[in-house]
Amino acid sequence: MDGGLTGFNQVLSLLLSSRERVSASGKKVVAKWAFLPVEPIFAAGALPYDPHIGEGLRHVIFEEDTSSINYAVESGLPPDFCPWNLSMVGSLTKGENVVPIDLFVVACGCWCDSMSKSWHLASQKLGRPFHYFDVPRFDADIEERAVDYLVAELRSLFRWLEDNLGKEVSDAALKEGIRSTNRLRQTMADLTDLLQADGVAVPALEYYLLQMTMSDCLEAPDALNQALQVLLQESKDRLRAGTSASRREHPLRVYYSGVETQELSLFNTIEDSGGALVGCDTYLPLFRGLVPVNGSPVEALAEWIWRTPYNFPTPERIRAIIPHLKKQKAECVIINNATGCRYFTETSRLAKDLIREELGLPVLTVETSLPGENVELTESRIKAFIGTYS
Amino acid sequence: MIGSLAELLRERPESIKKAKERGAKVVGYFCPYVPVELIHAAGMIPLRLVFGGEAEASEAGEQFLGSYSCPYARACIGYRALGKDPYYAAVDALCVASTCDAMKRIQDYWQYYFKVPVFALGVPRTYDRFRLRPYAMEYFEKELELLKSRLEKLSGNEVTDRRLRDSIKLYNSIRLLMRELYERPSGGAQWISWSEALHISQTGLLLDPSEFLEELQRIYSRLRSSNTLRAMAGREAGAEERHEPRLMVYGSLVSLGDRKVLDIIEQAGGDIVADATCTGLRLWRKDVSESDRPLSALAERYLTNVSCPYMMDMGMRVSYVTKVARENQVDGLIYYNLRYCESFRGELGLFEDALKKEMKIPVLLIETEYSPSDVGTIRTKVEAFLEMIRGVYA
Repeated sequence: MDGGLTGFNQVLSLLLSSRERVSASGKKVVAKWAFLPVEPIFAAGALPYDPHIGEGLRHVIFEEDTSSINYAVESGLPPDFCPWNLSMVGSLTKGENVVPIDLFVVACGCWCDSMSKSWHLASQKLGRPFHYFDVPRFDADIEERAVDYLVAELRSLFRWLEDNLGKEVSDAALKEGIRSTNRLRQTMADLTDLLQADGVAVPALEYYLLQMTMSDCLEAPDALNQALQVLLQESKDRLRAGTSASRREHPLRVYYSGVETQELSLFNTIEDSGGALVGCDTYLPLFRGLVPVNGSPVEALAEWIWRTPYNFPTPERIRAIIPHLKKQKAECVIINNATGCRYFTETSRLAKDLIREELGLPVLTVETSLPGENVELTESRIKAFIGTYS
Repeated sequence: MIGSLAELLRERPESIKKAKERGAKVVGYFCPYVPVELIHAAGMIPLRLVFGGEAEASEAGEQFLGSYSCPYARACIGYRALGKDPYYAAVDALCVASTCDAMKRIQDYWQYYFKVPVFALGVPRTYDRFRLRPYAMEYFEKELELLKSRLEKLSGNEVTDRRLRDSIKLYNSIRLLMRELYERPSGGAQWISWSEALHISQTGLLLDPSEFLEELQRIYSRLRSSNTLRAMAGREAGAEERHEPRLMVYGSLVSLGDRKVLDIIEQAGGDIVADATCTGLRLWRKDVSESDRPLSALAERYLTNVSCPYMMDMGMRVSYVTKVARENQVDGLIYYNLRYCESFRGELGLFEDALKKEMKIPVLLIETEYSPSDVGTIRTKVEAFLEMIRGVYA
């Protein structure tokens, strides 16, 4: 990682101090999956925590300790399951979770099946209440029906949070939460816009990790926003000074799609091979647009959830991402399939064909697994791909 | 006994071809959440495409879904891609329930690569026995209304309430007879073996429903008028003395042609007496109410039948499996999991824990693909499982 970015170091510090921050707050912790909004949890007086990122990053990636996976397998998950779910369930059942969790809420929508099962399992093993939030299929042009359904689901979620946490989820609290997270979304969007420049303002690995923090805002959206603001300014300064994170004057502009990877070296490989990361859509839905604060916050959140591209069939999902690819001036795309992730493995052929058809961009699909597994093959393929199109 | 059904099945591709020449349309579907009555009431030919077990079709689907994906889903795409299977080739439109990942991908690929119109049917995951989220039922009913209008447009026929009620009556009659074939009228004996009942069930999904009903009525009459039940009772008594382990199959879809695991179990001396699969008994257990509002009745029946693990109400599945296992005096449960079927596999740990609280029967996980390469491994596992059960009774 680039140690010279103060803003990023502040983000990393926030990430690594989650336990202390949660403990000091005295608040209950609600484990939530990425594409569920954080605002209801904050409004209920609790802190959101994404254990995929918290446990996966801390144990498997930073500490290079994959022993918890065995605990997940003993709990009933197959060894070829989604690696993020394996590391989460393993860490929790081993009793080594970074942050103690009081409640579990998962969104079981139009994406992968492993999510709902893993989270249910984790909650059972820890003996914690569990709630599932459904985002069923809707036609793209039936907005009113979709929003009505999701409003009902949100109200069901609010009642569950209120029953378990003892605090009403009021419209006022929701709006306050939305304003705070909107500031964060805007900053992240501004950072993403900087990647459109010819120079490389934010290194690949740093950008990838930053967008992951949008899932639970590291329990502190204002503090995270402040750190990102520092980083934003540093990045702008770098651009003005002509300092680039890339070794090349005109690096190949690489867009990363697919499932988030635990093999972080992939991003260094992109840069070492002469590429530059100009965009990433793994957590893009979380900051792709602001949540409106005028009017009903529940309806605003419902619509925001419905518009998440992962709710759409694959062709519509890819077409929703294509404007972003164009905006970031991507010259090629790398789609990552994590071993064990069915959703992206099963859609990558269609995604590849659609991107080629719509934009004519070259697309490479790679498969990553736990850190260090088969990394040489992945690195060779990325080097060859970037070398071919540079 | 089911020879006449086999003949109907042999003639079926030709009868579909002739019907298409007369202007009929074929609507394929894969998942039991699709109300077949709607397709039938629209005057079209419903075909539940439950073929599987063949490595070739599964491998053909790999070029689309990748190798780390459900073999049944790969086969659903592979059969069409190969172009050899007459049923898959005959499909004019698909109705795909948006349930598990694999089903949603089938929708994507058939639409994009095969240019076949696909009517997606949303199924809410959160509907449960306690009806805690009533808007989920309203959502499903609206999805059925949407499906109905799409089927009307495709067929050019209006799906009137009367036509729908007639279809519901027809399929309810089929369900009643299928339940009779599966159930045990007295003393634990069954009219036919479980294996035969499953075969009839799977075959019926491809046949014209009126013809299937007639054939079922003939089979059932023959059984009742003969000494079959008593003969079965005699065999059952002998079996009890030897104690052939009585097994139940639960898990991923058991498709037509997917006999590998079933044959291994039977060859090893296991007696499969029940199942809770979506091509078996679970499919036929619940009727559609013949009420004034047929679309609502369809929504009620299809959403409240015993669910697949796509749905979050695992308690319902545990209750159902327990009930069937007790009724059939089951000694062990085969948890049949097609490799990479995450819905069933991800639930295994939770399911086993819940089942143990209800009844103490051993569970054997068999995880496999449509390939003969693991026959030896599966055989060893099954034999050890059966020995363990026999040891309890020794």
